[in-house]
Amino acid sequence: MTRLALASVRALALLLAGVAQAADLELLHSWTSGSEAAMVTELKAAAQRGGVDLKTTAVAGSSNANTLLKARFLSGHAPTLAQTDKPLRIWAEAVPLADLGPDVGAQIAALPHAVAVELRDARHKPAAVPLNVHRLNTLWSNRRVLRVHGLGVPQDWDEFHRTAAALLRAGVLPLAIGSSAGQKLSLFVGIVLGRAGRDFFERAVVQADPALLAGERMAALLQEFRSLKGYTDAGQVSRDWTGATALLLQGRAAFQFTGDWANGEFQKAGWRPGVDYDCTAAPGNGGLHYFEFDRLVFFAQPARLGSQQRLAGLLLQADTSARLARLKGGIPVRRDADLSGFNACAQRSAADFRAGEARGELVLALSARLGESAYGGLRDVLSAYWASERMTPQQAQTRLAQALRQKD
Amino acid sequence: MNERRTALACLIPLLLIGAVFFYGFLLWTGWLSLTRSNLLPSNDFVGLKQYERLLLDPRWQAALWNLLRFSFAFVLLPLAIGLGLALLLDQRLRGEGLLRWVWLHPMALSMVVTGSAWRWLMDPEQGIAEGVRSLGWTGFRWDWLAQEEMAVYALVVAAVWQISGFVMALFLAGLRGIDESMLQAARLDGAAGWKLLRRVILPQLGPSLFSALLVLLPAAIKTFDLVVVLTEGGPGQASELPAFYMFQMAFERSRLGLGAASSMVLVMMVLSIALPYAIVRSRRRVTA
Amino acid sequence: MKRLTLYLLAIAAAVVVALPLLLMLMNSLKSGGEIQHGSFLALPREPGFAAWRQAWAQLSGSFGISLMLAVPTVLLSAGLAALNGFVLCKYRFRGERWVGLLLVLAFFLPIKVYLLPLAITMARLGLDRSLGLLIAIHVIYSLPLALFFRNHFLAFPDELLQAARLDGAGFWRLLWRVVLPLSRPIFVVVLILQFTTIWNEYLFGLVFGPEDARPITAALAQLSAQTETGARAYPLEMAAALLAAAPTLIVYLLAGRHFTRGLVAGAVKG
Repeated sequence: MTRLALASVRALALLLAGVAQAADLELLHSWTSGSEAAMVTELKAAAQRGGVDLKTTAVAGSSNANTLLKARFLSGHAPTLAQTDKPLRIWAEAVPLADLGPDVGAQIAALPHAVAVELRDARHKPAAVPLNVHRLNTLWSNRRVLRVHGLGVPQDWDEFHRTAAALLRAGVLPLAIGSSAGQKLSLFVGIVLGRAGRDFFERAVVQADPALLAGERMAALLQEFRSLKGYTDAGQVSRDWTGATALLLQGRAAFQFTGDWANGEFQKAGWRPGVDYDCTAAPGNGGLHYFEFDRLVFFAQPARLGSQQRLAGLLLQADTSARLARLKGGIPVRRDADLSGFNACAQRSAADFRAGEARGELVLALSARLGESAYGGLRDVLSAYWASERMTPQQAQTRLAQALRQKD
Repeated sequence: MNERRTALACLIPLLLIGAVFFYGFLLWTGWLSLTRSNLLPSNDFVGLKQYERLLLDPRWQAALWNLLRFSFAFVLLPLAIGLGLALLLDQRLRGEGLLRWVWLHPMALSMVVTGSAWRWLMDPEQGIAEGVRSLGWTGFRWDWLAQEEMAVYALVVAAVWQISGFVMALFLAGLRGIDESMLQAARLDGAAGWKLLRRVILPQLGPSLFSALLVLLPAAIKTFDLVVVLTEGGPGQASELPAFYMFQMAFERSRLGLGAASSMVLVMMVLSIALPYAIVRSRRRVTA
Repeated sequence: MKRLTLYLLAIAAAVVVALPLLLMLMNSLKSGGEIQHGSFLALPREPGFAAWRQAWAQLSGSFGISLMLAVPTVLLSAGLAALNGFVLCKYRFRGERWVGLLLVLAFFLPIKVYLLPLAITMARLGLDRSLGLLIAIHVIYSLPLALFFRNHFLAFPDELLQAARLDGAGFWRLLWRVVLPLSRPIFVVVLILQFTTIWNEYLFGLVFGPEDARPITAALAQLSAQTETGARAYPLEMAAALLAAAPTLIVYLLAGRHFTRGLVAGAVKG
């Protein structure tokens, strides 16, 4: 039973869990793994210190937390706040959001623009609070295996192909990947950003420019995307991202493309960054920071607005924000957050994030930019194309254009 | 008639409850499929728009095609296997009880267990393929789970394994129900072996065959758990079946209207088998 | 010679069918690390029951829950099915043909379609998740089972009932003394099928069952989803799956003969 499908049903179950709200505020979230749970504990502690009575409800799997959230609204027992990775406007269109007030608004205005803009509803009132930033375009390299074969961490895609080919000849699995669509999306984004750059990414994928989507460049990108399949193994169908990281840890694979949460796995195994493993930007991505950020959205509940505003203010404070980020394995949102205590990989990510922000070149994740149908459709097309022997890049292009054009 | 009143007093309330739970909710789903419900149910009527979206969705089209391929194998194979096993079992072998249990036992398992077991067995790197490779045939591969074309047949393998025992039981019941005197008469007439099978036995198994079809066809359409556990619809969406699509759209993708439309289509598919059967039955009752 | 080939054929078929569970059994005796690097077909190097002990520790509670769920549900639904089947068959009333038709159709409807509307309705009604709720839902959705009994009762000669009536039997006496004893083979089939269905069902159990007292299939699914590290604990999962499957397997072992007999008696009529 896959975690996702399982939890999507468990989500429904929580619909019926005696919903009398004993606490003042209730947070619905899907932070259930080790480091995530630690962050939630800290969150509750921070709330308590600030005098806010906060109860948390956990559901495994983000799509399932979303399902439950909807179900709760349906039955009239909505929580006061929730973790969400959907664009705010999707919620804003469906349900009324809380107005967190001018103080919170000011704090938000001091955050990086790419983040701040996602925290306000259609009337430009602040309705959500960011917790930490995760970089998604990271290349994780098994330095041990690379050293054995005299290879280095590739800086661009041509070098990646050469390195991978060499590894194949030496009998090492170049690329570890799992079965989820998200893994393939990471790869695809890595290629688009690495080969075609940020502008192309924005216009072609985010804005779904039909000319670019149908053009030669996109075809070439799709072609290269699927060529990476030659560096993976057939066993990928029954493994998730942790299984793929485990392949690196076992010395059986060299590279993995996934978000910075893999950092936790390496640290747990006692591996040292720069020595045993490395965390660089995807080949050709340079300093581009393709990121998503955890955020809490507050729903309109007039009786509790005061507490909501207070909690939002608490969570935006520099030290709280930094603590939460460190526990979860991401980097803090605030520009002025203290980075001591974060490991080398996180520091590098933070540096790129700040530099990128200064240049105005941050790339917010597709999950937060595209509509739900478009995003889901994109993932469908990429995973179908990856899995297929017969689909041509042109066919994938057509389906991609169709998917990205969908409106909810 | 006191007796009659008691009888009906028991029956009617239950029927009313049943009506709500079976048909009331069905009507609600039908209504949803005519609205533009996405994240949450809405009452904006949009006519057949969701159905249009459904039919144009390549993912749904693929699911239907997969269902066709799946059903074909899922109906024919258990019929053949079930019949064969039933004939074997009917030969009064020693250890018949044990054999029957072994052949019947997959039916006792939940789809989750069945799917999990076969997922391990069909794992390209660690399953039966690896076992065969370790025995010396190093080039052997069984990558159905990773192959776009064959993933559906991975589902078939597990599903056929699970249901064949039940079909066997149906045929066995049919065999045991054949009139001995008819068999004797035929044998006296000189029929034996294959001829006996073809001329006398098989025609008598008509009702069993019918029952089997009545079980197999709807079961194929409703297959869902197995897809989730064995292939997750993958690789990509290559082994998705309509029930799986319905679940995805309604729950994970939160396109309630679309999910409802696909539910209604599923129901209509099942009813296309059940309705003729039900009508014939109800007619027969009156004349019986 | 012919007998020999038959035996060989039968044994070969039995081995093939039994292979999946046998392999699971074998692998459940391995230690966790073995499967990572070896294959599922390799014999365990140091067979041990560690996985089984762990599985039992995690699932033993759920066993009881599933029993508390299955037994009442099965008895209630079979009893109601017999009752309804009898009434439908022997008592005329207006619209009975339609009822029969709708009941037959309901038998085929996929109940997964009802998950969402049911959940929403229950929530709106303010009903809490509980074993009772789950039992009620299962019993309601097993109403079409009445058809099995109806078919069976159709063959009953009315004289039997008349004789009992002349002896002064009312409705309940009729049911208890005459009808039920004669429907034993069907009862067995319905009990077996229903028990298997309820025991193996997890979707509704997950949604409507109590949070802390989960039926065993839900617990099993939860177990395989909760791996902290990347490595899946295969022996544990396999031992747990076998444990969860044990009761139904035993039911079929003990009652398999009755199952076939019930089918012969016409439980599933064409």
